Amino acid sequence: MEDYKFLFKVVLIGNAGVGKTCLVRRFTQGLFPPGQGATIGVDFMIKTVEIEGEKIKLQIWDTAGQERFRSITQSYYRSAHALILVYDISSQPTFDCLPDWLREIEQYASCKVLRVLVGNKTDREDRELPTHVGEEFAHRHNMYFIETSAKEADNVEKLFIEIAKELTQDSKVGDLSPQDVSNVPLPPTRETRSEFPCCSRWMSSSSSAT
Amino acid sequence: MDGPELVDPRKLTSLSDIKVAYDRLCEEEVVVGERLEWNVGNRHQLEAKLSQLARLAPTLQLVQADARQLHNTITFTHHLANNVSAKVRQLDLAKSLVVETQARVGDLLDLEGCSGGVATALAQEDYETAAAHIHRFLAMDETLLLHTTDSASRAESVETWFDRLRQAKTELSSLITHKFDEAVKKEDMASVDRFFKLFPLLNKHDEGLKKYTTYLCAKIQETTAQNLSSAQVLGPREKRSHVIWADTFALLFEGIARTIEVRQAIIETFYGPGRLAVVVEMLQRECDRQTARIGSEMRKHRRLDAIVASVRTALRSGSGGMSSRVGGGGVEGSRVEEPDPRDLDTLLGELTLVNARAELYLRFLRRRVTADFEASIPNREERERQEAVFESMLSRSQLVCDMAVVVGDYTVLEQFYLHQSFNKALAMDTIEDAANTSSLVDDAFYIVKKSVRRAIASSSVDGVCAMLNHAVTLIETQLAEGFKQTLRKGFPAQGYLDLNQAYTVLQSTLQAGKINPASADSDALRQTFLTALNNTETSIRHIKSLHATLEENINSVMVGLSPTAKAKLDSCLNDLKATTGKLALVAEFGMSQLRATAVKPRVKPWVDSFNTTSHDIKEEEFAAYEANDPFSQTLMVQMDGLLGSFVPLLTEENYRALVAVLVAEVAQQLEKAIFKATFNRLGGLQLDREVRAIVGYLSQVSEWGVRDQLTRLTQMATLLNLENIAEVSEYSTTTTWRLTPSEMRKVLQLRVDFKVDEIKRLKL
Repeated sequence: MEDYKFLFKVVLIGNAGVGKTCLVRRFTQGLFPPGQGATIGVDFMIKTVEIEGEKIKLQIWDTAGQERFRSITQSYYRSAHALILVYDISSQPTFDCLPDWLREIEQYASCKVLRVLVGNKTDREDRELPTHVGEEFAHRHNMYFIETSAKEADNVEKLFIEIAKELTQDSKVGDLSPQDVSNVPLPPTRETRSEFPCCSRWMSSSSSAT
Repeated sequence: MDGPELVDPRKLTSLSDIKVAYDRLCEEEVVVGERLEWNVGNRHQLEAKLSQLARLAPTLQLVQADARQLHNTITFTHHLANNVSAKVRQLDLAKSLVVETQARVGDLLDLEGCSGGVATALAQEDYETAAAHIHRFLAMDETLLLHTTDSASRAESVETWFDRLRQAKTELSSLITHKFDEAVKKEDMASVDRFFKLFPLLNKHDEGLKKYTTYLCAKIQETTAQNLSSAQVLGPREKRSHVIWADTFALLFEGIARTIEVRQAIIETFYGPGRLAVVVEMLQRECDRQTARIGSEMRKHRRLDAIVASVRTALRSGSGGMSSRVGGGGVEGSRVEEPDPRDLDTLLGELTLVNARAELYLRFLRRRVTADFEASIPNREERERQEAVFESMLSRSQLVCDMAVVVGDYTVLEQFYLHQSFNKALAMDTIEDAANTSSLVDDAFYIVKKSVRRAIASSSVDGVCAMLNHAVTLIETQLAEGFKQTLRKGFPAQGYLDLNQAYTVLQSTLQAGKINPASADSDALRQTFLTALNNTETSIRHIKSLHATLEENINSVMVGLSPTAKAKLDSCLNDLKATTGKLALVAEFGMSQLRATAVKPRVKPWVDSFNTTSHDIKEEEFAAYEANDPFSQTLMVQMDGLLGSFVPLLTEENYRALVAVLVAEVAQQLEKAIFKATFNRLGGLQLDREVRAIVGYLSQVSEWGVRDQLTRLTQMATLLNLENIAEVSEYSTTTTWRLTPSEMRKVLQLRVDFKVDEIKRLKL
C-alpha cells in the first residue's frame, strides 16, 4: 500500500508531565496543545520522513508516565528501535528518576536499542538543570543527548530526524553483513553502540542553536 | 507619401536641395494626376451613388419620426410601471401593518385573557393552563404593546395586565419549583414528570433540566448504594459472587443507560432536541462518583492493590521466575504472598468484565449523543465541534481514568499469569511421543492464547496490545531462545563411528561443554535435540494459527474502533506474526547442526566407496556390475536406513527438510567423488546407470523443489556417457545446462578416451 524503505519503532518514556505527548504532537502535527491531560495507556502516531531521498516510516509510541500503566508501556520496550527518555529541565525530580528509567530499559529493552536522553522545556525560565548536567549523565550512560522545547518547536524536528538517520544508517550496515546464524537477531541490529562517541555529534549543533 | 510637406523656397539654398524639392514635386504631380484620372474615369458611378443617396433622404426622415414616437411610448410605460409598483409597495406595507396590528390586537386580547386566565388557572391548580398562559405572554413584545395603546386609560390597563402576569410568572415558577421538589421528596414519579414539563413553558429550560437530572442522579445514587450493600454481604458461595463487582458496575451502567433511554423522549418532546449532551454530562458526573465508590469497594474486597503490588515486586525481581516463590514467602509478614496463577483466573476474568461493561456503556453514550446532535445541529462544522467537546468531556471523565487503571492492574496480573503459567509448563515439560514434540509447545500456546483472548474480552485496546507484546517477548526470549540453546549443543552421531565421525562427535560434545561417554546419555541428547527441532517447527505453525484466530477474534469482538486503535492492534498483531521468522532461523540452524553430525559424516564413507570401484572397465566387468551392483545399491539402502530412522522422530515438515539436506549432501559429495574418478565409455555407461538409480530413488522420497539439486548430477552422467564429443552440441540444443562451461570441460576431461584438444575446441 505505502512504500517505505524502513519502518522504525520509537518509544517515548519518562516521568509524567515532562512533555512527551507535546514532543510527539509538535513533530507529527506541528501543534503545541496546551492543557493536555495525562496520557492514558499508550498513544500512537506515524510520520514518514525522508532521509537521503528514502522514505522512512517512524512509528511513534507515546507512553503514559504514570506508574500504574507501567505494565502496558513496558511491553513496548523490547520491540523498540529507539527509546527516547525525556526529563523536564525545570524539574529536578524528573531528572532524579532517570536511573530508575535506565533500570527499566536494561531489564526490558533490547541491549542494542538506540537510547536518547532529552531535556525538554528549554523555553522555561526556571531551569533547574544546566545543560552540562544532562550531557554528562547521557555521556556516562552511553546515550545521545539533546535539549528541546516542544512549545517553541526548538530541536524537536532535529531529534526525530537524527534518530531516523542513525537507525537508517545502522540498518544499511546490517544489510551488508548478513546476520550470523548462531545469533538469532533481536529486532534492532546495533553492533557498535559503545564505539559511537556519544552525544558529541548531536550536542555540538544543538548548543550552537541556542 | 506622408502629408503635403510644404517646402519653403527661401530655404532652398543649394542646388541639390532644389533638386530634391523638384523631384518631390514631380512625384506629387504624378500621384495627383493619377487620382484625378481615376475620379474622372469613375464619374458615372459616383454620380449614380449620389443620386441614390438623394433618394434615401425622405425614408430616413420617416425612420427618425418613428423612433421618436417609440421613445415616447417607452417613457410613458416606464412612468406607468413606476406608479404601479409604488402602489403595490404601499399596499404591502399597509398589509404588513394590518397583520402586525392584528397580531398586536390578538396579543392584547390574549393578554387580557391570559391575565385573567392565569389567575383562574392558579386558583384551580391547573398549572398546565397557567404555564401555557405565561408561555403565551412571554412570547409577546411588551414595550411594543405599550406603545400601541395611545389612550391613557388603555395603557394603564395593559400595564396592569403585564404586572399581573409578571407576578403570576414568578409565582408560578416558584410554585413549580416547589411542587417539583415536593414530588421528588414524595418520590411521586408522575408529578415529577408533570412539573418537569412546565419549566420550558416559563423559558426555564436549563433550570428544569438541571433539577430533573439532579433528581435522576439521586435515583442512581440510591440504587447503587443498594447494589453495593447487597454486593458486600454476598456470601462467597453465591452463584455470581466471583463477578459480583463486575455485576455491580454493570448494574450502574445499565441503570444510567436505561434512564437515558426512558427519559430521552420526554426531554426531546418538551425541551426540543440537542439537549441530551447536557443531561448526559450531568449524569456522567454522577456515574464518575459511583464508579469511584464501587471501584474502591472492589479494590478492598478483592485486595486488588495488595495483589498488584506483590505481583509487581515479583515481576521486577527476576521477571516472575519460580525462584521468587521459593525465597519470597513470609519474609514480610503483612505483605500478600505471591498469588498462584490459577487463583488469579477469577480476578482476571472479573477485571476484564468490568472494563468490557464500561466500554459498552461509553459506546452507548457516544451513539445516543451523536444521534441527538445530528437531529439538532444542521451545520456540519458546528456539529463536529460540539461532538469534539462532548468527546473530550467523556474521555477525560473519571470513569475512563478509573477504567484505565483497572486495565493497567489487569495487565500486570495477566503478565504475571502468563509468566508463571509458562514457567510451570516449562517445569513440567515432558516429551510427547506421539507428536515428537514436548508438552511445552502446546502448553505455551494454550497459555498465550488464553491470556490474549482474555485481554480481547476486556475490549481494551491497550490491554490487548500489551498482552500481544508480552506474548511476543515470551515466544522470542523463552521459546525461540530456549530451543536454540538446546540445538546449539548439537546432535550426537549414532552407530559405528569411524575416526572422522568420532572426531566430530567429540568436537560437538566439547562445544556443548561436557563429554558424554555413555551412549544412554547421547541417546537422551539426541532426543532432546530432535524434540527441540520439532518444537521449533511446531511453534511456527502454532503462531500462524494463533495469529489468525486472534485477528478474527479481535475483529468480531472489538467493533467501532478508531483508526488509531486499529493501527495499534495491527502493529502488535504483526509483531506476533513476525516471530515465525525468528523461529524459522532457529529451525534452519538446527537443521544445519543435524547436517553436520548426522548427515555429512555418514554420507561421506558411503560416497567414498564410489571411488573404490574403477569406472575404466571392460565388457565383462560391466556385465558383472549389472548383475552385482558395486555402489548405488548400497548407497540407496544406507540412505533409506538413515531416512527411515528419522521418520518416526521428526515432524512432517522437519522430515522434508532433512530429506532436502540429505539430497543436497549426497549430490554435493557424489559430484566431488565423480571428479576424482576417470571413465571410459563403459564406465560412463555404468555411471549413468548408477546416477539414474540414485536420482530415481531420491526423487521418490523428496519433493519437487529438491530434485532441482540432482539435475547437475544427471547432467554430469549424461556428459560422461556420450558416444563421442560431437554429441555435446546435440544435447546443448535441448538442454539447459546447470553446469558452467568450465565445469563441463572438466567433466569431459574425466573420460580417458576424449581428447583434451577436442574438449578445448568445443563451443559451449
